[in-house]
Amino acid sequence: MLMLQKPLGRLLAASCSALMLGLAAPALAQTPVSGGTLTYYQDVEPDNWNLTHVWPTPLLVLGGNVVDRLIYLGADGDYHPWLATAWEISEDGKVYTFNLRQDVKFHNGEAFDAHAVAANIDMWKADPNTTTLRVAGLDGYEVVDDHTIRFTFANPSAQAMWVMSVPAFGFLAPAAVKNHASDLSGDPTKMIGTGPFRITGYTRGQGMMLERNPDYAWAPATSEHQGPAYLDGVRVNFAPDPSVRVGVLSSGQADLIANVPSVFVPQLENGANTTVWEQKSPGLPYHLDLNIQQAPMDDIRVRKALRAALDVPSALQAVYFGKREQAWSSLSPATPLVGAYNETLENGWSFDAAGAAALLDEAGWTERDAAGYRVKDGQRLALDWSVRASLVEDQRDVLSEALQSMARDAGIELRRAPVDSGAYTALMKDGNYHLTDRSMTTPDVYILRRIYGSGMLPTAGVNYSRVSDPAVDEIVDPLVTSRDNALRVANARKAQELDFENVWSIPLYVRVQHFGASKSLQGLSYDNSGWLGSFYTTWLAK
Amino acid sequence: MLHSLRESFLVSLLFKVVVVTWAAATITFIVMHATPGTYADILTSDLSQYGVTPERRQEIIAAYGFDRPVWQQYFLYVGNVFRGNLGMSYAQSQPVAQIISGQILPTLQLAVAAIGLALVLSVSIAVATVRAGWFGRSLTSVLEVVVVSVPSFWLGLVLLTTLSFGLGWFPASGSDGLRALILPAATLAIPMAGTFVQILRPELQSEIQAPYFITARARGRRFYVAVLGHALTHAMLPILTLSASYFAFLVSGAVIVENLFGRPGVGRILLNAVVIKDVPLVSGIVILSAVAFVVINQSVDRLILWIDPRIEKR
Repeated sequence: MLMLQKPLGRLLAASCSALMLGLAAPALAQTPVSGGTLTYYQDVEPDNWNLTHVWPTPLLVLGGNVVDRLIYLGADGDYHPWLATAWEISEDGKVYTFNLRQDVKFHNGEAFDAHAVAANIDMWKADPNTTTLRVAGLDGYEVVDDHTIRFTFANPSAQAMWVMSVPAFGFLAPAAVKNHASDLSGDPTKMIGTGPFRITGYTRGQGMMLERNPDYAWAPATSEHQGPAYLDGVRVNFAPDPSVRVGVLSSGQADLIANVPSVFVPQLENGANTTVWEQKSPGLPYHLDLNIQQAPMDDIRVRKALRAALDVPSALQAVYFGKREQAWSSLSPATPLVGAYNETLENGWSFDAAGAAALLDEAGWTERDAAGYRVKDGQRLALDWSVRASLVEDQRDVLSEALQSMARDAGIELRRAPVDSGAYTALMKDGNYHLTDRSMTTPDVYILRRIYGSGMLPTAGVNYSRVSDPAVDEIVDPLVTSRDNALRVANARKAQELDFENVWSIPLYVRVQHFGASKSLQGLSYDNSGWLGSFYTTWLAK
Repeated sequence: MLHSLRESFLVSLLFKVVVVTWAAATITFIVMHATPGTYADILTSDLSQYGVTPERRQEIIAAYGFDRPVWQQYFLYVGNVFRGNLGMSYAQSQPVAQIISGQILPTLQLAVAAIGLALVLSVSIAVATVRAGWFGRSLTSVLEVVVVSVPSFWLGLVLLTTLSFGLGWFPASGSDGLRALILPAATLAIPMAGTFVQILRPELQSEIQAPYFITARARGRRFYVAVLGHALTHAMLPILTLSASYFAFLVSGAVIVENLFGRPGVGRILLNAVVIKDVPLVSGIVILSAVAFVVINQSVDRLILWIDPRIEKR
C-alpha cells in the first residue's frame, strides 16, 4: 500500500514520492512492533453501514478494515491478486472468471468460497437500495466450482475492475447474509467479513471498536506486511467539530484524527508530540466548472477573460500560505494511471489583467456601470456561481472571496450562492448557473468522461460544464469502455488539452488531505482510490 | 370528582397529541417538499461520479416512491403515521422508530442532567444572593447576563479546552458513564441557570416579604430554613414551567452540544437528516418533539396545580 507522505517530505514529494518514503520519515526505518490500541477521531459518521448502499468515503474507509476484495488496486494503477488468485477476461470484455483463494475464513469461522460470493450477490440483487450492482453493471454470475466464480457484465467497462477493488464489493459471511441482511444498515457489528479487523462494538453518534483478526493470513502479495495486523485494535470516535479533533490529539487523548483544516496544520506540525500526514488526492483537482451553454458563458472570450482575470497563485498564497499546489489541468497529478496527467499544460496560463480586458472588449462588454462592472446591451456581466454548501471545505469560502474580488477588478461580478444539496442538484439539473466548483476524489481517468461526456449532462450525471459534443465523446468514451491503457492515457491527455483550450473549467489547486497524528503513529496507509487505507499496516511505536 | 378530572385530562391530552401529530407531519411534509430536490436527486448526483445511467436513476427514484404524485405520497405517509408506522429512513435504510429509540436514551440523559444541574445551580445562587446588597446583586446580574448570552458552542469549547484538553479531568467525547455527561450537561445548564436565577431571585425577594414568611420568621424559623421550607416552593413554580419547555426543546435541540462532544442524540441525527432531505426521519423527529412538548407541558401544568391548588381559582 502507498505510504502517506510525512510533512518533511512535502517538497521532495512533488518530484519523487517513491524516493521520499525512505528519506522523509526516518522513523519508518524502525522495525514495526505489534500491540496497542489506536484511538482515531473521524469527522463524519456514515448514515448507513451497508457497504453496498451509498458509498460515502467514511464508510468505505472503515469498511475496508473489515472486508477484503477479490482484487487489489496497487500504487502502480494495476490490479493484483487478493482473494482471487487469478482471473480471465473474455474477448468481448463482458465475462470475468475468478479463481479464489482456498485458505480464507470469515470472522465467524465460515469458509470463503464461490458459494459465499454468490450468497452476497444474491443479497445485493434482492435489495432495492443496493448501489454496488448498479454501478458495477453486474448482470449475473455462475458458480463454476467451489473456488471459481464467473461474473457477466452488461457492458465492457474499465470501471468494473475498479468497482471490484473497493470495499463496496466486499464479501460478508454466509451466516450474516442469511440472518442479518436487514440489520446491516444500522448495525455494523453484523458486518462479518474476512478483513484484518472485525467490529466488536458500536454506538451510533459516538463511535465503534475494531479488534484485530488474529487469523488474518491473506493480505495482497504486494503488501509489505503479511499476517495479522500490528494493532490490537482501533477505537473509532466520531467528532464533527475540527477544534475538538485537534484538541483531543494535542492533549494526547487521540493518536490519529481525520481532516485537519489548514488553519490547524502549523499548530500540529509544531506540536511536541504531534505531526501532520499529507496526501494529494487523485481525480479532479479543486476547480471551477463553467457552464458553456448558459449565456454569456457560451462565449469562449468571456471564459478566457475570467481565467485571465484570476490571479490564482496570489489567492492560494494568501489563503493557504503556499501550502496548496496550483492545479493546471482537469486531472490531479496524483491520479494513478501513469502518464495520464498532462504535465505539458503546466504554466499554460497566468494572471493577465490587460488580456482579460481586451477579451471582454472584443466580446462587446465595453461599457461600465456605476459599480464598475462591465455592461453589454444594458446587462451587467454578472455570473451566478452555485455552491453546494455541504461540500464547502478547506476554507474554499475564503478562497472564493479572493477570486470574487479579482473578478470584480476585471469588471466581472461573481454572485456566489451556497445552497443545500437538494437545491443544488435541482439547479444543476435545470442548468440555471454560470459556474460551480468542486473537487472529486477518484482513482482513475474515467472521471473525465463523467464530466465531459454528453451522456453525463446533469439530468443524469455531473457534466456541469455541459459539454455536449460527439467529437469529445469519441475521446472520452474509451476512458470508460476500453481496457487498453495506452489508448486511455492518450485520450485522457487529449481530454485535458481540450478542456484547457476551450476553458470548460478553471483548475485552482490540487486537493490534499491532512491527517493529524501523534509522533508514535507509523505506517499509515493510503488507498489508491484516494481514501485513507485500512489500519492493517499501522503501528504504534512504544 | 378527581377520577373524572383525570379522565377528562387524558382525553384532552390525547386529542391534542393527535392534532399535533397531524400538524407536525403535514408541516414537515410541506416544508421538505417545497424546497427543491429530493433524496434520490442527491443520491444519484453523488453516485453519478461512479457512472449511474439514466435507467438506473429511474430505478432509484422508484425505489423511494418519488415517481408517485405528491398528494399520493402525502396520504400514504400520514396514513402510515397514524397507523403507528413512521416509515423507513431513506439514508439509514432502517425504520425511523428504531433509529429514534436508539438515540433517545442519551438524549434524555443529557436533558435530565442539564436541567437538574441548572436547577441546582440556580436555586443555590438565588438563595445565596437573595439578601445580598446592591453590589452583590449587581455583580451576579452582570454574570447572569453574560452566561445567558454566551453561545453554547463557545462555552462548550472553553469547558473542553480547560477541563478536558488542559486538565484532563473529563473525556472530550463519548457517552460512557457519568464523567462523559458532566461537560455537555454543564454547557447546556450554565446559560439555563442564568435565566432561572433572573426569574427566581425577584420571586424569592417578593416571597420573603409576604405575610406568611414574616409569620414563619416571627415564630423563630431561621432565615434560610424558612426560605427553603416555604418561600422556595412558591418561587419555583415559574421555573418549573420554564424547565418543561427547555426539556421539550432539548429532545431535539441539543444538536450543537451533541456535535461538539461527540455524543449520540436525536438532535444530531435531525440536523443530518434535514441536510440530506431524509423526509421520514425529519418528520419522525419533529413529531416526537411536538408530542413531547405537549405531553410535558400539560403534565407540568397538572403538577403545578397539585403543588399550588390556588392557581386553578385564579
